[in-house]
Amino acid sequence: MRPSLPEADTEPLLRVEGLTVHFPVGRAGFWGRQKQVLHAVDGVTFDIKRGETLGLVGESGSGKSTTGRAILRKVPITAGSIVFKGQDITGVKGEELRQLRRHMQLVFQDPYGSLNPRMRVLDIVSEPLIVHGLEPNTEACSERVLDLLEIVGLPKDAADRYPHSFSGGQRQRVVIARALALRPDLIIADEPVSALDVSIQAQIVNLLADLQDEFGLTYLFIAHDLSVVRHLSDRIAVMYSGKLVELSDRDAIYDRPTHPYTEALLSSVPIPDPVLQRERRRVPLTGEIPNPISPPPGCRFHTRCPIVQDRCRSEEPPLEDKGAGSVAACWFR
Amino acid sequence: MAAVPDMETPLDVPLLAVDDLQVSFFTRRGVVQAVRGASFTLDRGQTIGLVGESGSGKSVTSRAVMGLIELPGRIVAGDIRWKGKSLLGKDGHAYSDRIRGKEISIIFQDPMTSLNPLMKIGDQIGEVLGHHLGMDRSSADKRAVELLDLVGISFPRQRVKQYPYEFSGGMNQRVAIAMALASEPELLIADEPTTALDVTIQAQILELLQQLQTDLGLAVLLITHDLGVVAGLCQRLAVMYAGRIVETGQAEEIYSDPGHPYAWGLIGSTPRLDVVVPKLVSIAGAPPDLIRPPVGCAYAPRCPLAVELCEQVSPELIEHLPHRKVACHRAFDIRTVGAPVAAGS
Amino acid sequence: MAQTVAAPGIATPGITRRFAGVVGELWKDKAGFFGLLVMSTLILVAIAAPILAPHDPAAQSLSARLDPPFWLEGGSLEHPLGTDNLGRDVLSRIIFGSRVSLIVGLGVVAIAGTVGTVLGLLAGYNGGRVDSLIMRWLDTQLAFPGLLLYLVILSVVRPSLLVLIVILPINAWMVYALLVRGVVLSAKETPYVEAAEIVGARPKRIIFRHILPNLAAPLLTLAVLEFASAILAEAALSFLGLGIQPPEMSWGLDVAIGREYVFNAWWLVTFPGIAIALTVLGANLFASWLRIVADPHEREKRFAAGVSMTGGRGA
Repeated sequence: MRPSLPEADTEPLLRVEGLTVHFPVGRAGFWGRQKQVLHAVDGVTFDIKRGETLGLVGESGSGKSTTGRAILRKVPITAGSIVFKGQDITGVKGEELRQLRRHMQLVFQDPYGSLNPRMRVLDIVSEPLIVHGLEPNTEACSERVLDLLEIVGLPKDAADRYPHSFSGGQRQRVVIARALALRPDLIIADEPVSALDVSIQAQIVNLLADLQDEFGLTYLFIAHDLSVVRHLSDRIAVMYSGKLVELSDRDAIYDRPTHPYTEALLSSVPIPDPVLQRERRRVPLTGEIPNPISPPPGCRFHTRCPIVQDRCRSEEPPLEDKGAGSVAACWFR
Repeated sequence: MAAVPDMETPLDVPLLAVDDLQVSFFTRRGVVQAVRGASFTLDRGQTIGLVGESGSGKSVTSRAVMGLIELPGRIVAGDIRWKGKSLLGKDGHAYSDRIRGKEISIIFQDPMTSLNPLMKIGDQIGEVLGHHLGMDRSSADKRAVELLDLVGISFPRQRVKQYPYEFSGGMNQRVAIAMALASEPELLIADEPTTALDVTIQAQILELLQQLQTDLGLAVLLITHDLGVVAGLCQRLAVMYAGRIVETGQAEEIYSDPGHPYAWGLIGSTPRLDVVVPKLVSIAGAPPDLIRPPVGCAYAPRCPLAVELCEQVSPELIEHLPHRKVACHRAFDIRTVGAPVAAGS
Repeated sequence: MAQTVAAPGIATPGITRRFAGVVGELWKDKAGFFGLLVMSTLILVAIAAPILAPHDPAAQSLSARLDPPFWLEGGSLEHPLGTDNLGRDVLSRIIFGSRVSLIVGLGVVAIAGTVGTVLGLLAGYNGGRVDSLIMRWLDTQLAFPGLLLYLVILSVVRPSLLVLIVILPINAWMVYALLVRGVVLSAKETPYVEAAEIVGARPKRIIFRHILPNLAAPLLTLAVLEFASAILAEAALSFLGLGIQPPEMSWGLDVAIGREYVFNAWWLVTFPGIAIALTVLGANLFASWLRIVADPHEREKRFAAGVSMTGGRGA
């Protein structure tokens, strides 16, 4: 037990520095001598303060989910470091890693696949308590589970039922209850609502917000567009092709997007209002997302960027403070 | 090219009329009444958005129009008319064979549903051209290049020789659209055409659809769960819930002044980029089990305005305002609760 | 048309109702039901052989050699299916022969199933070097004809029932390993297994609670099929004289003995042959029914096909 020192408040809960994840994907060349790697995440740096929500936004192939899984130590890390609660967890393994799991949990995207169809909700939610030996007494354990179910807004009789008898939104509540069981400091929510219907999405987003207030949780909220994260995040990080291109305060992102990609992303999200939507002008973005096996040199966005210049094609822009709460990686903004 | 009105059908007959359509799925759990009486019409050159959440019956409806309902599903009642003539039943059989795939085309969420992975895309488009328009090989090849160009694929002359796996998801969706347009249809059904795509690619595809709609005078039936997607593309809207259409009308009217509490809730719970609300509006509860649909209004258990009548009598889809049909006993009473989103956009 | 599902039953306990449901479904699938019938008959006959058999299967009677079945001239109900060249009762030999088939079938399934499942689990769950080691071994062995392997071993070791049960799994384990490895590999990728890892479950718990239950249905189906092929293999080896040795009895052995008399006493080969064929057929039919029942998609398809035939009436 570490005494809570004053500086513990200023120290971030999680610090990710230069995180790089490359996956080997096979060999090329006639003799297979050239090793090919997929650049999933390339030198990503950010931190999350205790009680904060960081929204991590990116399209498919941007590396956002891999970043989440790297923090959970589910994928091998090629380079960089992850410091969680003041401890470097980049290399922990075995029992130490298992103990680490108590403090960070994951809420999955797919509420259908992430619950074992053969287990009752009681067994699913109590599993974390059992495997960490937190509640050896069966009676007390089910008591805790019932509490958790109530917290996430499920009826008491849910405990004895199997996942298939629940709707998508209710299953996601079960997933959240399981993640909460260990009272983690950090919850990584990997697109927790994108598989749900809109009317249900709002329920889950509101539940996550309430839980944060109640338990002082810290979230890394991963999403593929900027509309859902707006309602939860304090700061928003935008990833593109394995790189962090912008990391700004919430309002700065929406009011004054700095990086041209952020701008394009914002203008691509349709607004559910026909009058406004017809008048909106989209930042024209042509072309496709670059191939992660052979990412382009310089700024990764230069192949699609509307304000591209020669420098962008050869030199990679650093992530730097652009003032007014914006941190972005662009030579010309 | 496609919108030449044919002289046989009078102009006051809608292009497509879906009349009290009922589709059920006979599963081991029981009979799932996926569509329980859906009616709407679509005129030439019009765009209609069929909006609903999963299980609302929107996709089943579009598949029924396309004749794609397969066992265990079956159309149990109702009619689908194309230019006034039924596509269903024994008499409709020959007629629908001529219409579906030719005058009506469909694109799906996953473009690979309509693409053959083992065939060059030029040949695939050529096949449609040969089958429906009786083109010979060389003119079909030429037309395939034009079609790819039309859907915004660069270097179409080289691209026709490529296979679907050489394309990204967004590009394949463009190819699927080109293929759907090859038969020069009058109606394009787009079943969640952008759901599997990234936002920036989605925006490109939506723009393409919009442009094609105006240029070719296509009628478009867009099936989506995303109110944002319909907003830019569709003039008219039909909102589905639990197998029924609960509201139809002009898109902007429904967005600004929804008559059905469900439409109101759906609009309110859609997260918006341009408005920050302290708390998203959410609809409590979940849609009903369509094996045992409620006797009264299917939305009553979740509805903030529900009264006793709602639970006993299922409301009819009635014209409450000009060109605005709402199936609700308390249509437009939701105005008293407030705008669907927090004011101040 | 809009017919609701069957009225909720009177408070029957869940398990009973599920069991009743499965049996009801089995009854609807006539082929599967026939398969189950054959399998249970085999088991009952094997257990109750001393009670059911009219004669001592080994008892020779020189006065009653090559008697035909009772419905032919010269036959009698004393020996309903006739007698063999030493005057032994064919029916009794078939009844006792079922014991050998059952023991070989069960024994081989148990040993091959256990070995194959464990190796498949090791390969699938650990991956990496363990996996490539097991898979290379398996590939090598697959390239070698199984029957030849048996013949080599049996030319060295004196064949007996026990020897058969030990050597048949040498080839039979592979299909279990392949199946288990495949299922484990796909189960390992499911989000709920990932969830269990992230929650902090140890590998042992993940294997037993989250991965193994996925194996129950496919393994059971495979075991029934392999049961049949073990019986067939035993019969074949016994027929070749490399399996069960006289005076023990086996269907395959009886067919081999009868082969010499096939032109004047056809019943010697026919009845044991029918016993073998019926058992194998029954096991296969039962297995194919099991496969369908274990697969929700298949069940749904069957149900829908049934509905379309009966004119759209639900449940």
